[in-house]
Amino acid sequence: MTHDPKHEELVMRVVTGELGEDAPEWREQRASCAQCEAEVRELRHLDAGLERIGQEVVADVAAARTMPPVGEEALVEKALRRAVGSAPASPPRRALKRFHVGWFLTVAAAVLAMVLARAVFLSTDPVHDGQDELLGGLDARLDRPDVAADRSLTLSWSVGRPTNGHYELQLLTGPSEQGPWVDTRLDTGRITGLSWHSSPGFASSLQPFIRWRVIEKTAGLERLSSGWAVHSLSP
Amino acid sequence: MLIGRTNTEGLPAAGPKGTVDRPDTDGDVALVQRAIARDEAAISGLIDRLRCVPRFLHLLNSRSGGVLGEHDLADLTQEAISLIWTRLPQYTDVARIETWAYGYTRFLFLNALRKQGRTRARHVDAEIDLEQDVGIAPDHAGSDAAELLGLLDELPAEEARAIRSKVLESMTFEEIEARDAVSANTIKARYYRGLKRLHARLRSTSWGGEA
Repeated sequence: MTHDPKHEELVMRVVTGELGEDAPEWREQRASCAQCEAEVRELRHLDAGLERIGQEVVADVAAARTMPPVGEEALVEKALRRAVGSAPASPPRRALKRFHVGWFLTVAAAVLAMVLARAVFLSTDPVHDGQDELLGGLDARLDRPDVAADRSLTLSWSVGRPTNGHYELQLLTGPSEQGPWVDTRLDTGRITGLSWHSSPGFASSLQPFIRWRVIEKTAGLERLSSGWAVHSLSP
Repeated sequence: MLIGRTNTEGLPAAGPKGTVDRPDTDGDVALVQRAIARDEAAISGLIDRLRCVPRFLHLLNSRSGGVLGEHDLADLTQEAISLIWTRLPQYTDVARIETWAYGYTRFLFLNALRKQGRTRARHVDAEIDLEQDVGIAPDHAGSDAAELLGLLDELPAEEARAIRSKVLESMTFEEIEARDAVSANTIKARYYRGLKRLHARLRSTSWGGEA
């Protein structure tokens, strides 16, 4: 028997579990229509897979409800308030209708000016990875590294406000400004100032480029990180 | 206005025997709409509800062998919250905020895991078992269960709603019927058509469709 669109109803009943696979009418149709048999097999497989995904989602959501705090909960508020302030979700349509064109042009001009100013800033700055910087959370300016005659490395940065905690660094190294990057597993310990000095000879263990960022750990164990900066270690 | 039942952890209360309650998604939709409109109380409520995000990340990381470090998880938390905020206008009443946020969180986590996985492939292999369960070819490690669920966005809304309700909220067709005031047969037809469309979509993206 060739496949007939009229078979669909029975296929649907089997796939949705309304009809068991041992139901006589389905066994008869399955035996005579290979297309129906294949369709049921594949859709039930997909259905079972989706169900397993769903169970995992439900289990994880339930587990998150009962597990003790993991330490990053405070970051949720910081990140969301930052997002609300800088990357707004689409406003409701009513608000859009009230939005005056003149105000729109003013805001657009201001945004354009900020983008241009930032472009000028970046053009005079070392290579930056802008995406991470936007998402990092710590407003830090990473200075160009200094390699001394004894091949010690000094990394320094500036921030807009003092910390009540300390800083740590993450340092990767690679053969070019595009990487590939290798994590140096650097353990800087607790840095309370705005710079870090390595031991002599440390820079010799690094490849020509480094990719690094500053991580602030406050007294409340909140963590914020700067964006990555990529620098050449060449003079 | 009811924002949603919360316990001391700021997450929805558990139902009997630890099962998940049927979602108070009307309240969630109202909360999201007010947050988008910059209602301060709603933003605070949303923050409470999204405190699950770092916990999701820890759960996923633990299951994957703890590949990501604490700094990575902290960064991912911020990245996930930023992404969730930008996608908030797409939130609908088909799932709780936490369940909806889980998809984006998992998506970002697996992206980060894959980056690490270039040198630690076995953890990634374990994580993509689920993808193989739904017939996604192993060589398409860029795909993911979260992306699969994301494909639902491309289905007609009623079909996607039927699948999400059954899969993500573990609702029976009869429960969906009661909630949506649509006959169970109609819900089944939508579910079936949605599955067929999803299956065709998986094939067309060459993820495979056969186990």
